[in-house]
Amino acid sequence: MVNFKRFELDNGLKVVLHKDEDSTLVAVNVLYNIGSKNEDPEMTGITHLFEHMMFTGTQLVPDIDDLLQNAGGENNAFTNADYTNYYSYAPVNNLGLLMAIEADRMFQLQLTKEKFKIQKNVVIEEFFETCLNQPYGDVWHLLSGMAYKNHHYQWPTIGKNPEHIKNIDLKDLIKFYDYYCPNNAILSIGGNIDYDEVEAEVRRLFGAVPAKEFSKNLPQTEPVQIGNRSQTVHRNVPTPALYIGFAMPERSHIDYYILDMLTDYFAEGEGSFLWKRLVKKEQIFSYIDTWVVGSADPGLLVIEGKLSEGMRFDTAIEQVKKAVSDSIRELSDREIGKIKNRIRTNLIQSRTNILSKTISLAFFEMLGDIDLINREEEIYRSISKSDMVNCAIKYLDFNRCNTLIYDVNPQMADVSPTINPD
Amino acid sequence: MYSVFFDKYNKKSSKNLIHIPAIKDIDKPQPFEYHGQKLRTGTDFYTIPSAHSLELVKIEVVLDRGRFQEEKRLSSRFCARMLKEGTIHYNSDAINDKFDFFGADFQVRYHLDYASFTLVSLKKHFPEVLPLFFEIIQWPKFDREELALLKKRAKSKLKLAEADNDAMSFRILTEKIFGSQHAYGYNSNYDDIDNIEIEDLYRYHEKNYCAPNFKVYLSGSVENDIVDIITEYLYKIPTGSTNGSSLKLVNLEGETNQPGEFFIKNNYSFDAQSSVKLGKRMLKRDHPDYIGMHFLNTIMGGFFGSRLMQNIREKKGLTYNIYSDLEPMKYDGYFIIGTDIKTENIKQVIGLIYDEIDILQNELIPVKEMNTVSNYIKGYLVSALDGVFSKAEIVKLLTLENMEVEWIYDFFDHIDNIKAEKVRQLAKNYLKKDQLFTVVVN
Repeated sequence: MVNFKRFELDNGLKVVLHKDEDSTLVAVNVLYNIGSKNEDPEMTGITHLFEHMMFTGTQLVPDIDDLLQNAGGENNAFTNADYTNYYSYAPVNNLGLLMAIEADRMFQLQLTKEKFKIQKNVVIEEFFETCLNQPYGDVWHLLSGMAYKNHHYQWPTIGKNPEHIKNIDLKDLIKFYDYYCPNNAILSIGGNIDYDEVEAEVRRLFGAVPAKEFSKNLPQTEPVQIGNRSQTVHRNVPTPALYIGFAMPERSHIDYYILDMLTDYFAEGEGSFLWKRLVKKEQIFSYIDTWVVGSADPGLLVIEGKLSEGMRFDTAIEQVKKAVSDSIRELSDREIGKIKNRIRTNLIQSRTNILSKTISLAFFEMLGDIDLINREEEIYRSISKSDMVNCAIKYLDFNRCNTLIYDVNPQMADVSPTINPD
Repeated sequence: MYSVFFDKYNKKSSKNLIHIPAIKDIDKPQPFEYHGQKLRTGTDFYTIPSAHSLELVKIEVVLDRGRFQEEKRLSSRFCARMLKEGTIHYNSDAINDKFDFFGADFQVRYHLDYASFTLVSLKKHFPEVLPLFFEIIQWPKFDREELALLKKRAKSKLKLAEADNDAMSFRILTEKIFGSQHAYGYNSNYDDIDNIEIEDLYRYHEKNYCAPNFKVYLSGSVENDIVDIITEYLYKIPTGSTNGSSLKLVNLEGETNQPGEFFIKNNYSFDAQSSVKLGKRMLKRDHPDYIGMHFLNTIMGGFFGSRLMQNIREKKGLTYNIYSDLEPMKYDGYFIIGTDIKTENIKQVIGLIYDEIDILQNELIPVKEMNTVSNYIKGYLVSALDGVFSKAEIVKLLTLENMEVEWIYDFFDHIDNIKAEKVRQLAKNYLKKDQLFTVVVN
């Protein structure tokens, strides 16, 4: 059970406090409700680039990292399609400092041309390191582009291409800072803290930060997919790979939990159905995985496989279809019990880490249902065999999926865009 | 001194709504509860209990034997990996099924110096899964078909690793540092994988998987009943014919390479970016200079505020990530610097790395920077000891290198006593440029 105390400041900042008597650390997390899905399609990557700028300092604290390291702390951040999240932790006696750093950069970040130029380069290097210079590095560009036609999930958080990042200028960033305000943020704090003391300090510090007005690009809804889409690309990669994506509901939907259990059943560990059938027995693949993207708006369920040497794509796809349909027919209560037990162990394990709890609290608050943090175990427990079968039939429709064939071409990367229209 | 330092910032601020409080000193962590005993069969058994009930129990059984005891390449890794593919009573599917049924997480990991078997389970299911856990370690039945399958998968993993600049440059660097015949230097190749036979696995298991070679770490909701049950299992492990004192190390020496620059082309990679790694042999954790070297490494590239990160990423924007790392192992160690950069910037970045080494060898580190690094390291230690499973990890790390657990508290005290002169001297002694190997892959 994760205990917490919630309140909201007059300026719109939502706050969640969590007390953990066993931890010697304190974690401070600020989630800003701005993600790459809110971007202009012609200026992608700006949300993540801005995340880098949040570490470049203020007049009060010119070097955030230096100050925090002197307090024995660490910080970092991540950006995804839905939100941008900053976290830091340090020995508990430096909580006041951690909070002041966050309030300060929420209020008076200094955006300079010099630091902007540097971070632009850093982010372009990151783009190359993680996407362009990496075998299979552009998979998410290709797959999300295929699966989303209207919704802004169609481009990855890093951006559509490095040119978009190159073209962003300082005035775009200054405008973007409007999203950084208490009325667009959630603050969570976890550690061996006194609720009343910390609440008073939060009210004093963050209460001073004024709310802002901003207009947010809201992503369009994605129409229901009709028919199959597929794309074949040729890349200089060691092994051919196959990705199949199915549309699925958002993170807070009950079907998310059911599909999460289904993907565990398919491919979590070497005792899972697809692994035993397609990797060990039939040896169609050398590696297989299935996973759900738990996004705030409707997400994707992905089946990913690396083909065994000499295996044909059409055979592999047929075998995946057959294995999925057999697995649903053979699903037993005993198998479901196994998945539930493992999920329970994982949930309990994730609650032993102060940082992971603090980040989760802000995340569930963003989803609009903070109690989920304690209800998830019960939700998983209540899922029945018929729930899983019904969801499998409803969502794992091979006549309405997105297939990415990643073929080997040692000659070089030539893309053959064969996107079939709906 | 920090309050003065940051008051300066406060005065500079035009809007005094937010005040930055002074930094508070980082307290030395309180000693934590752990117990260690040597069983009469020679197994070391450590328990690290949690302060409050946690519902979870974790056991990690470490075979303190690895590549140095191999008669054939890869036998230590394949033996550990194959154990979970079958025992005298359970085949691989039945093993997975049983652990999954009780929601227990079972993992096998291999390291150059040891193999580790970990089981995490709810406390109430722990007694149900323990018998199988110990059977896996003790009573294997190696199956030819399973081995063939594992070899096939190992080859496809190797193929993927060869396509990755970062993995490739790491493989080549460690081979250059230690030599291609050395236990820490050799890289597995397709022939090594092909050559592993069932008989090699049985031989390695019989010679090495005996009581005196195991170190066991039990943590989480540990109560006496569980300790008793585990002690009973540990006593059933055969003592074997070898013991620590008659340990014969193989592959300790190989051909030695001359340091230099090595440029390697990766057939799969796009050459827009290159992986650059520099490295050399380095001292072990039990060396008197180790703590000083840890300090030097941290300043150089061990954290975000390090010189490499600040000067090459934050000031020049030449990379997304650059680091240095100290890797002490059981019989040796190495130091490494790594980054991924635009191919056209290779010369410039290597030059900048050398400049940083020069500066560390010739100039004293300013007091402010000494303080930052020492505070950062202390904070890092506090977080490394947060939570019972982290504590167990520290106990494991130190005892595997035959160190005292109390070393971690000495470390905390020593950090404050490190002098800038000493760090400069260490840079001169241990970061000699003519001893550095440089590997570039693109």
